[in-house]
Amino acid sequence: GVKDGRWTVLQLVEALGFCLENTDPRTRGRGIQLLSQVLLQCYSLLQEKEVLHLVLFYESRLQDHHLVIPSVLQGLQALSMCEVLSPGLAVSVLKAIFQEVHVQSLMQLDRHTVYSIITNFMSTREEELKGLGADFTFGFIQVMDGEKDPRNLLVAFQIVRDLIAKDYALGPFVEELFEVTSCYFPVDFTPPPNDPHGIQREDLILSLRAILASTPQFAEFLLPLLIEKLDSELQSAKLDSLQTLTACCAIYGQKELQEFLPSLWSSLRREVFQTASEKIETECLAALHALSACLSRSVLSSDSEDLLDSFLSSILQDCRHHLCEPDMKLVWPSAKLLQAAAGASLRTYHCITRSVLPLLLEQYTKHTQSSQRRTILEMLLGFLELQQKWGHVEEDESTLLSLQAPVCSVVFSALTDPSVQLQLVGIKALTVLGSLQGFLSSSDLELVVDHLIRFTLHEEDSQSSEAAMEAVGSLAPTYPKVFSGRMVPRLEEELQSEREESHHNHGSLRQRCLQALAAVSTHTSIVRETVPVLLQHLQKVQKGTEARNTQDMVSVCQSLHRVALQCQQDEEGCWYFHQTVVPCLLAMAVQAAMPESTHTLPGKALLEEEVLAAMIPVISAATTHLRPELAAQSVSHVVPLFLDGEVSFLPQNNFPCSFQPFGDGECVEAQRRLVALLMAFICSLPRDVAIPQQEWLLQELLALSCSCNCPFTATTAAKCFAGLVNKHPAGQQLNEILQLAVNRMEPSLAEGPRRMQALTLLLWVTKALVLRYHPLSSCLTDKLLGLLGDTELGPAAADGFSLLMAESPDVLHKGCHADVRIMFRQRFFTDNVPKLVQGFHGAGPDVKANYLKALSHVLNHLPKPVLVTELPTLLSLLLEALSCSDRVVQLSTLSCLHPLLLEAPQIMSLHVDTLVTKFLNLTSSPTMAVRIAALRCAHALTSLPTTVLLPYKGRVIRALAKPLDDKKRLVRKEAVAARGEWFLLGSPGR
Amino acid sequence: MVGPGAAPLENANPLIYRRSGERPVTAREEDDELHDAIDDREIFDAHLIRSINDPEHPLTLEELNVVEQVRVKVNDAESTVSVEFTPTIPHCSMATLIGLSIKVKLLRSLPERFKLDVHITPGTHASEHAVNKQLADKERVAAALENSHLLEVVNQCLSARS
Repeated sequence: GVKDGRWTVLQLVEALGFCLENTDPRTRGRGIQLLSQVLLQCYSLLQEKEVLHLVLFYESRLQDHHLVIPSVLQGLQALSMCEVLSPGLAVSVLKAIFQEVHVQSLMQLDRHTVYSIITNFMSTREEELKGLGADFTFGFIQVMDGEKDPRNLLVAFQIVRDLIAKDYALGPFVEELFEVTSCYFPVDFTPPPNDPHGIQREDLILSLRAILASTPQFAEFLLPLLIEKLDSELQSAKLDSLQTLTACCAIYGQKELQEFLPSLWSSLRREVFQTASEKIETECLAALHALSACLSRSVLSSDSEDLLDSFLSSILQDCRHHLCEPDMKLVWPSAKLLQAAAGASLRTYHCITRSVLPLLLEQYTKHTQSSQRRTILEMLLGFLELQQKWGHVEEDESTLLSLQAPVCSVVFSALTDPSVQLQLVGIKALTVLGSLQGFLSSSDLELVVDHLIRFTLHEEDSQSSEAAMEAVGSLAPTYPKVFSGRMVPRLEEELQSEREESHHNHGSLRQRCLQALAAVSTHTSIVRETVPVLLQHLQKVQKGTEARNTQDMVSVCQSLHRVALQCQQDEEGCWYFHQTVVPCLLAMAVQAAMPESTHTLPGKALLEEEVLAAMIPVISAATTHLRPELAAQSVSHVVPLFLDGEVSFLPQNNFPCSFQPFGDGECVEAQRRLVALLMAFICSLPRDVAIPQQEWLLQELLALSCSCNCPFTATTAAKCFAGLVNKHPAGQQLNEILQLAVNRMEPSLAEGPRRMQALTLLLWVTKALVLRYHPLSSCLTDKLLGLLGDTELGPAAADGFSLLMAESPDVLHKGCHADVRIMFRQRFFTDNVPKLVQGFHGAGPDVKANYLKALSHVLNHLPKPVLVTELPTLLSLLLEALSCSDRVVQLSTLSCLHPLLLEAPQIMSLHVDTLVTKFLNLTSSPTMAVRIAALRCAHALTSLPTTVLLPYKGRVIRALAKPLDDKKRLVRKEAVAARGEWFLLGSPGR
Repeated sequence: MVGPGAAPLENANPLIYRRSGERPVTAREEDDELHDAIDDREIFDAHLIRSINDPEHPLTLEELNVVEQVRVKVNDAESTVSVEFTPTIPHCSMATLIGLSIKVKLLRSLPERFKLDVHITPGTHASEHAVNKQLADKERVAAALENSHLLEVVNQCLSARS
């Protein structure tokens, strides 16, 4: 009634009058409870006058019997949410609560009500509460003192945070406020199992840390506490202290830290020197970094001592000498401490490097062993990398600049050292030096490039040469002139020279040249130099007669691909590459496919599957990032080339015969193979680029894919068709095309010589539709499921499920703008796995394996988290699959079970008997991969609860003795790991 | 006195050595048909004696140079393995324990046909002879492993590093 305004609160109070004044506290309690419930529902309708009376009434009730108090508090909570509360009432309510109620003797819920009243008032009556001064703070301290419930603590912590953040007067109670909160530090709380409130330890930690690190006023109390906890044995306490210290440094200044710096430093040093835990080390370094940053930030008054200097000098004093012992354990901890401090600010960096860099350079010359030099150079590298953080090198201050000559000579000496490990660090250092603008002089730079050329071309060790290529790639954009002027001509020369070397060496040198040309192409101006060199080389190889032609052409294509990827992000470079490379490759391919040239051996190599397959990624990568208008321009040339034989845009278009890949002639077999290049281009176009004569093209592709005898061509045509269908806008036209495809497929699938081609087409079209959730996809998938029962096509259809689920490298993936829904695998799983299971149970014995294989392909490609939640329902089938004799099924089943063992041990425990038996059986499989997988699963079994496993311990250990003597080392390795773990089961010290 | 934390470290800043990388897998090893013999590196590596933890430091025996691949000798045909280990300091009280850990590790991970010999590199420990004798005595090794406190420390050395 009160809610819709028929009754006023006054009337309600009058009606309840008897109850409210009853002498029995229980009846009184019930009366007040009812009133409070009503108020909680309609506090927003109350008038100012009514509120005043109610507040006075409730305040007076606070002195009442303890049974009544909970309801009184609820009423006050309702009133605290009223907007019309007159000024002064909030203060009076709080005073009454502070005075009359002993909060910590109330129940958890009622304590929570008190906190809510305070929170409500703090958010709406901030000014009034501040009028109370420090009394309010003191009142609250008393309220929360002794609170134990995590739910209430989170609220109370929030109140304290607001007290500090909104600048309430703390008065003389700073220490009390600190005491009442810091007593929870470090938070030690494990949520009970099945906790419905979902409060994690981490919530409390962060909430408390926010308070402790919120004001410098706490510093004098907090820092000793942190040091004490840091010195304790408990890992979690150390971590929490370090993280809190780091947080504090954000707001502290010199004044707060001054007194504690020596003990903070000695604790941090001790931890880094002695700890076994990487986490603690990381946190210590972060804390040291924060401390140094904090000290460097502080503004100095003219007379005070600069703490930073003394702090850094104590660090230097304790760490510096360890740097001179590159074989000892403390060398790295010391270097890391120094680097953490040096990374804090430009000032700390100068201060530390001034002392450390000359020392390291001196040590490098003093120690002559490669391994020692490597350690020293790695430390030096760490400091150089920090310099990168400050950007350019400042002329006047930089220690580094003054050491330019010795640093360079140390790095260059590392490059000429025979030790590969030292070379690698040297190359890394080169990259860093190069990235420091203005550090290397032009003569140094030339020397750098010469060293890199030597490594890329002539270094025997592949690690060094790869590292050098990487360095080339990252330095080239900074110094494009030097690289295009010095490196590219050298490489070109090497490529052209026909030296009288042994054949093998020359080959690998050429490979290196090609790779280096790709690596250096990280700047547009360099790309313009390298691409012509690569294309020229490709043409030269094509005309040549050497036996290694195919391999060479593939290498050139790989280099071109790498260049294409490197210039994708740069619009101009991308268009240049596309315009130069695509027509050139097409022209060469068309030339090679001409009937005249097919009887001469050279040129033919270009049409080999391997070479065409290598060209596909080049064209694809050159196309995916084109701007739509440029892509449209290009597509208007390429499509007519294939449909009409329109060759005029090709660089050399003087062909003896017409190009008709979709024609009927006898000699077009070679030309048809070039559909692969069409696919690479057209399936990589952005989705909004219109393709001219698309319907005609689709029909030609469809016909080709069903009628061609060459599997390569047929598959490529099917993929190209699928790629286009996937991007085709939905609608009548698409449905017609698909109907046409189904009509062509069905008869050839049923019987005839081209059943395989039809299956391939079916697979690719299904994939195209599954990816975009097209309604027809379920119908096609059902056809596939049906084929699993076919004795001839069944195995191929089963393997096809892997094609459906896997990412395909050249078409139908996100990178080439295909329409791929993110959850398609899960959806496919839910739609089809029940059918697969059903099919398996109904199938004849000779085809059962097909269903298991299809199933395991689907499961294998499912994201692991989904797999773990879905698998338990399929577990019995999987266990059955373990007995299947097909090793593909065995392998994929084992790889499905492996994550389950680790992540769902409870469910797996139920089947421990079967699992143990089957895994142990499979450890003697004739296939090495199966033995390895079975042993890994046997290893993973140890993550099940120990009590479940102990009965099997003896048997497993005995059975695993046999694979210890397996003929394959890789199998033995797994057996050793698994058996060792089983030995530790249930044994002390695990 | 066993176990870290019980007393000040005997050797607080030991020399440390670089770990050798993972053994690269060769094409031959991936061929299902061929037989790979057990070699020194495998004992050192796959049988993981190099990654046994030192009882005193959070370091492996390899990092402390207590075991080295050159001091591991195996003869697959004759089924014998011999491992020499070098305590970090001549008076190292952990020598027996380290030897025991190596021995247990090998017992657990080698085929039964192998005959094991674990001993201290000659001339590197004060009571070399006594330790060797203990390690060679089958019954004493078995008895040591009955002692659950000792077994606990050995197992800790053999547990994979977290």
